[in-house]
Amino acid sequence: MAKKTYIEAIRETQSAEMQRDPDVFIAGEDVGVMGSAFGQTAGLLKEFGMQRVVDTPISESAIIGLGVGAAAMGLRPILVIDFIDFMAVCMDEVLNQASKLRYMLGGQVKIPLVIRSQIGAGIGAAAQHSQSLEAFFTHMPGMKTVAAATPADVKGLLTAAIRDDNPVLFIEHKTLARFEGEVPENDYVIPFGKADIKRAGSDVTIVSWSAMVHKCLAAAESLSKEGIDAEVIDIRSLIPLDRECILNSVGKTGKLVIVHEAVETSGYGAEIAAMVADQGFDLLDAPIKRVAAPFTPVPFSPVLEKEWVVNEEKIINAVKSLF
Amino acid sequence: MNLTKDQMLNLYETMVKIREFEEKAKELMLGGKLAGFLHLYCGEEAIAAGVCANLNDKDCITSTHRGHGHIIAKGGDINRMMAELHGKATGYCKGKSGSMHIADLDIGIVGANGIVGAGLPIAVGVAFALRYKKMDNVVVAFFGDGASNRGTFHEALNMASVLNLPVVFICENNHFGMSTPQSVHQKIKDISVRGTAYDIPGKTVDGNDVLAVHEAAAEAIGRARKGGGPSLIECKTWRHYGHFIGDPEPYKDPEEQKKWLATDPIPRFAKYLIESNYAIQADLDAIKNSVREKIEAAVRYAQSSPDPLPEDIYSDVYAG
Amino acid sequence: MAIEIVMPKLGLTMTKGTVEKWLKKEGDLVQKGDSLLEISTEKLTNTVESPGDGILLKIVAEEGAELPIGTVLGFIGEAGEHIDVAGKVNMPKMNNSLEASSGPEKQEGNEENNDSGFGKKVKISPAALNLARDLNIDYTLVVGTGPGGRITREDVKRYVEQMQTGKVEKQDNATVSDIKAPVSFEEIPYAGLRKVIGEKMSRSWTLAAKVTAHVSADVSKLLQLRTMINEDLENEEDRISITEMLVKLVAKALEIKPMINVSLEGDSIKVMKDINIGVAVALENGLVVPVVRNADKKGLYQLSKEVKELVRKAREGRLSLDEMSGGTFTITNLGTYGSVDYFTPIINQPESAILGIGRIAEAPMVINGQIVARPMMGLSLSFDHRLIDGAPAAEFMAVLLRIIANPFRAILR
Repeated sequence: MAKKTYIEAIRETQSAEMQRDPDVFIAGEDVGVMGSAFGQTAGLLKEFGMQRVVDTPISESAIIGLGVGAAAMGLRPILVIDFIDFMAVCMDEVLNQASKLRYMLGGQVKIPLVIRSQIGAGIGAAAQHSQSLEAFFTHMPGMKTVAAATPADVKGLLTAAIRDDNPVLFIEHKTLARFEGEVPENDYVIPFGKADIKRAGSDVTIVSWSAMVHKCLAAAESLSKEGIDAEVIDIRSLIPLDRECILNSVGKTGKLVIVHEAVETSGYGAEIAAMVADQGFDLLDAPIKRVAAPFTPVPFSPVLEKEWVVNEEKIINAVKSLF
Repeated sequence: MNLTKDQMLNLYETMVKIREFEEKAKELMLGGKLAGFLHLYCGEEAIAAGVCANLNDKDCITSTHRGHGHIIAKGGDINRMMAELHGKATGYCKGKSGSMHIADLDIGIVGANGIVGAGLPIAVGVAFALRYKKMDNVVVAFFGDGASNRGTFHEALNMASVLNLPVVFICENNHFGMSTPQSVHQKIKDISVRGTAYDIPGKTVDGNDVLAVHEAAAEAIGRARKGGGPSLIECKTWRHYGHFIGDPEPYKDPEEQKKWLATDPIPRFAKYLIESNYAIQADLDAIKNSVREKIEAAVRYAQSSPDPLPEDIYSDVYAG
Repeated sequence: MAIEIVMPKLGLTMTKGTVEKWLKKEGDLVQKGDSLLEISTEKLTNTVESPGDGILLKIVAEEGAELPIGTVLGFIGEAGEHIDVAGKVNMPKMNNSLEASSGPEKQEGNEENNDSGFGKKVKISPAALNLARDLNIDYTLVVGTGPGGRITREDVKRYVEQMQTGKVEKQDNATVSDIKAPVSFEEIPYAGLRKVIGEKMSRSWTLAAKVTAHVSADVSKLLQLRTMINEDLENEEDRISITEMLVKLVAKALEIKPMINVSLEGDSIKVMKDINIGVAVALENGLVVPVVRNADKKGLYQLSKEVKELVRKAREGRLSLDEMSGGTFTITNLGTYGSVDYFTPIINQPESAILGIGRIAEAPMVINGQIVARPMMGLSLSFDHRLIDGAPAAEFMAVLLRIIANPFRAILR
C-alpha cells in the first residue's frame, strides 16, 4: 500500500487499465495536452498517444455519441465530462442512447463505456459548476452510477467501471482532489453493489456517498464523545445499491440518517428512505432523516456556499433528533 | 462508374422490396395489426438502395426513425423486421423496440433511432472504432433535413472532420422536418453547403435518381475508405406519405405532391432499365412478384411467431 | 310488497342520523304508528314510527350506525315475503353501517396497530412494536422515552428486563402492581347525542378565535323585579325565572349592540336582523339548545311561557330540529348549581357569542365608600374574535350591566 491523492488514483487507474487493455481509450475536453482541469489525465497523452487520448471539441453530445458508437463496436471508451453540470447538454446521448441501446436492440450490443464526471460545491464555482446531480442518473435503467470517497475506492471502482460491460457514470468530487489515502498496489476491483462500512457503530446508521462520507465520519467522532455510536455506510455504488448492507445496519441500530450533498428534494436519499420504509419498516425505531442541501441553486458567495453545503453540525443535529 | 446488368437489377429489386415492405406495413397498421408509430420511407427508396449498394457487410450504417429502407438496403432480414414490427420474440430486437429501432450488428446496422439526429454522433463513434481497429471500412449516417438543424449534426460533422474519420453523412432532404416545410425550418436550400463550415466536401444530388445517388455515394465512400475523411451528400427527395401513418398532411401543397410523384424513383428507374435494354417489363414484373411473395412470407412468419414472455421485460437491461 | 323503513328527515338541516336502539325485533308484529326504533341526530333523540302494518321482516341498519337520511333501515311486510335487501340497501350510501358489521376484526387490527385499547393513542416505533409483538408484551404499559414520548425498541427491552428481574420500578408514580393491573372501566359508546355534542364543541373550539370576558353584575334590582312579578301568581308553575328574564334583557342589549348578533358564513359576516336566543338545557345524556325566536319582540310573559315549553319538550326528547336551529346568540346558565361564578362557555356555531351565567351570591361591594353586601351574579361572555373585537364586546357587557342594574325599563317594551 502506498499513499496517493484522489487525483493520482484516478490518473494511475486509467493508465493501468489502458496498459492492460488496448481497447480502452479516453476522449473529452482538455484531456490531452492539458491533462484535465484537475490533472486526472496528466501524462496520459504522452504515454498512449493521440489515438488513445483524444482531445475533442467542446461538443458534449458528440463526445458521448462517439463513445456509444465506439463501445457498440467493442471499444471501451472513458469519456470525460469534467463537470456533471455539463451532462445536461448531452442528456439524450446518456439517457436515450448509452443507457437504452442494449435493451432496445434486444441485447445485440454491449455499451461498455465510462463517463467520468465530478460533482460538488465548496470551491466557489457557483450554480453551473457545483451541482450534485447523481440522482438524475439513477433514474435510467441501463446505467450504473458509482461515487468514490477515497483514493482506494477510486482505484477499485474505476477499475470495475472500465471493465464493466455497461455504461457507468463514475462520479468524482472536486473537493477530494488532494485527499490522500492508502491505495492497494496490485489489481484491485471493487464489485459494484457492495457498500463499505467506513465506521462500525451500534446506535444509528448514517448512509452517505462521495465527499459527504468524510463529514459523516467527523460527525460520528463528535457523536461518540456524547455517547452515540454511529455506523457510517458509504454506499459507493448508487446503482446497483447494496440494500442488504443498509437493511442489516438499520436492523442493528433501528435508526437511519441519510446524508447527501445534492438538494434534498428528489435526491437519491429519497430512494433509500423509501426502500428502507418499504423493506425495513419493522426495523425502524425512529423516523428516517435526510440531511441534504436546501432546494436552491448553489450560491456563489463563500459565506452563502458554506451555509448551503451540508456540514458536520447539521448531521449531528439530525442524529440527535432521533434520540 | 458503369454498373453491370445484375447490379442494375439488384438496385431495382432493393427499391421494390422497400416499397412493397412499406406498403404492406401501412396496410397492417391501418388494419390494426401493428402498434406504435410507423414512419414510411416510400418515395425515398433510391437513396437507401443507391448508397448501400456501395457497402459491404463490415461497413456500417446508422439510421433514423424512417429506417426500414436503410435496413432492407443494407441486407436486413425482412422476416425479423416484420416480426419486430409485430412486437414478436423473433423480431430483430426481441419485440423490445418496434419499427424505429431495428438493428443488426452482424451486418453493420448499428441501429435506427427514435431521436432525430441521434445517429450522427454514434456514427462518428463507429468510424472512430473502425479506424482504431485499423479496418478500411466506413460508416454511413443517414439523416433528414430536419436533423440538419440539430446540434448533433453540427457536433458530429465537426468531430468527424477534426478527427478525419471515415463517415459519409447522407442527408435525405425530403423537404419536411415532421410537418414543417424546409423553407420554414431553414434559410438554405442546399443542405450540402453546411459541409463547408466543417471543411467537408458537400454535394447535392437528385435523390430520386438511383444512379446519381449511387455515383455520388461511391465517390464519397471510396474517399473515406482511403482515409480521405468525411463527406456530406444531400439527396433531394420527397416523402410520399405524411410524417407518420395517420398524419393528415395539411401542410402539403397538392400541386407540389403531384409534381414529385411524377418523379417517383421506381417507375423512373424501371423506364430507364427498359429503355436502356437492361430488362423487359416481364423481368421487372417477375422481380415485383417474387418480392411480394417474400413479403407475404415475412408477414406469415411474423404473425405465427411467439410473443415475448412477461419475464422478458427484465432481460437485456444490463450486460453480464 | 314489503314496506321500507327509512331514516327520516326530522328537520331542515338534518342530513344523517344514528340508529340508537331498535324497539322491535325481527318477526314482531307491528302496526302503523308503532314505535320501531330510536334514532338520534344533532341534539335530539326521536323514534321512528312504523309506516304500515305487518311483520318486521328484516332489520338492516345495526344499532350505532350513522346513516344518511333516506337510507333503508328495515322492512315490514307479510310472512315469507321476499325482500330485495341488496338492491335496496345499497341505494343510499351506507358505508358506515356496512363497515360496522365487519367491525370487530378491524377494530382489533387497529388496536394492535396504535390504539391502547383505552381510546388513547400510544406512539411506538415500528421496531419497538415488532419486538413487543414477538415478546407478547402489552406495549401500552411501556413508558416511551423517545422524542415525543415514542416507545423505542430500547424501552421495550428495558421493560422486559425489569419484568424478568421483578424490578419494574416506579415509573410516573405507578407501582409495579399498578402497572400490571388492568384498568377497570365501564364502556359508554361515544355515539349519538354525546358524539354530536363532542364534535360540535371541538369544531367550535378549533374554528373560533375565542375570547372570554368576565364581570360581576349587581342583581339586587333584578331579584326585586322577579319578586314583584312572581308575588301574586296563583300558579306556581308560571313563576318567572332569572334565565327567562335574562333572555329578555340580553335580547334588549343585542338590539342596542347588533354587532354582537353576527355570524360568519364563508366570505361574509351576517349581521342578524332577528334576535333568536338559544337557551342551553342540560339533560341526563347531554345538552340541547332550544331557540326562542324574536326574543326582542316578545313580552316577558310570553318569553317565559315559550322557554318553559321548550325546556319541557327538551326533557321529553320531543324537540324538533327546527326548534333547535336558527339561534343567533346563546345563554347557558350554570348558576343554578350554586357552584360556579365564571366559566368559559364554548360558542354555539355559527353564532359568534355566548353568555355564561354564574351563581348569584352575596358579596361585599364598596358603594360610596361603604362596604355593603350585594347579590352578585357572574357573567362570562365568550366571543369570536374573528368577528368581534374586545371593545365592542366590552361595550355590549356595559350595556348589559346597565340593563341588569335597572331592568324595569327593559321589560316595558
